[in-house]
Amino acid sequence: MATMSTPDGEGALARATRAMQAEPEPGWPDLAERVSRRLRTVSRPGRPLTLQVGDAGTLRVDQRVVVDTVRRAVAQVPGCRPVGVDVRAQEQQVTSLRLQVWAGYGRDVRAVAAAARAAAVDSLQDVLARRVPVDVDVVDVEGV
Amino acid sequence: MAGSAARAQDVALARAAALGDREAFERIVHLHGHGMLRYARRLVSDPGDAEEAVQDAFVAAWRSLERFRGDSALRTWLFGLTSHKAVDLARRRRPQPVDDELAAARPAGPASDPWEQAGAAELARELDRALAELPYRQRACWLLVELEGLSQAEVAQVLRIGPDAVRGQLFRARRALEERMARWRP
Repeated sequence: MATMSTPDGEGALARATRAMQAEPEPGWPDLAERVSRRLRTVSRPGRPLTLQVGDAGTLRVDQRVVVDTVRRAVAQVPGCRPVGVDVRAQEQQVTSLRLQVWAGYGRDVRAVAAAARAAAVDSLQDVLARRVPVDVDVVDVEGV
Repeated sequence: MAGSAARAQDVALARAAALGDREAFERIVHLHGHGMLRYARRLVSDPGDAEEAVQDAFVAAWRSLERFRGDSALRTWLFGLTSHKAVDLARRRRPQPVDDELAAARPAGPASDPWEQAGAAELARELDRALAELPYRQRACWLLVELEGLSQAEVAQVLRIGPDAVRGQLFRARRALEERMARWRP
């Protein structure tokens, strides 16, 4: 089987492939907008927690709310990116939290871990009205 | 962006999104959605089905990101979801041939004058027509490797078939497409 070539020597299939790759998908901008709108209505299945909020009684909350609160707080720490938040709970009470972070290249890893822990503890205190032990693992270094 | 940097970015975005960062997931949508639609549009004949498959794939990804462990590239995982959603839709609409016999049975169209209208867009349309004649697996393998840049091992993960099967499907697809596109030679 001979491979057919264009006058400039490039195969018609290769040329057509490049042309196809270069073409925009006409429906994409509208679809991207629809996907974004749809995703705003989609929730993830979570794990319910019943929290003892200081002396104020109990509060039922999805574990994802706790995770998201911690994530947002830790993301504010310079040179730190949260990549894992594991809420440990017993009888629906948060007992501790394990945090995994990436530290920025060239950063003092221990300082980043300490700042991340402080941010996580403070954010948990805002939600739970008590201090919860937080373990921090710096699992990687990257150009944060 | 270089391959390793793009992959590192994907991992970072996937982890952030898994923790509930919707902005990170939006970036994933914008990084990969265009390619997913390009792929889906050529897997299923109906453009509406293709768009629905991509949307469903992103919803499934958002719901199950916690289970994405990074064993495969994010892009591979997303294309796998797109494939499954597209096949599900196509099967609901009509029987979907997945063997190689149909392509061989299709008569070739009349040869057209090649270079006169061989602008890039016309060539791309001709390739679209040629792809539409391929059986599903050949088409999927070719699209993922040649158009989307996945490795054969990644295609095996996407389509849940063996590497040897990918190699065979790809070989037949390339041969069929080269023969079909050969009509464009003056």
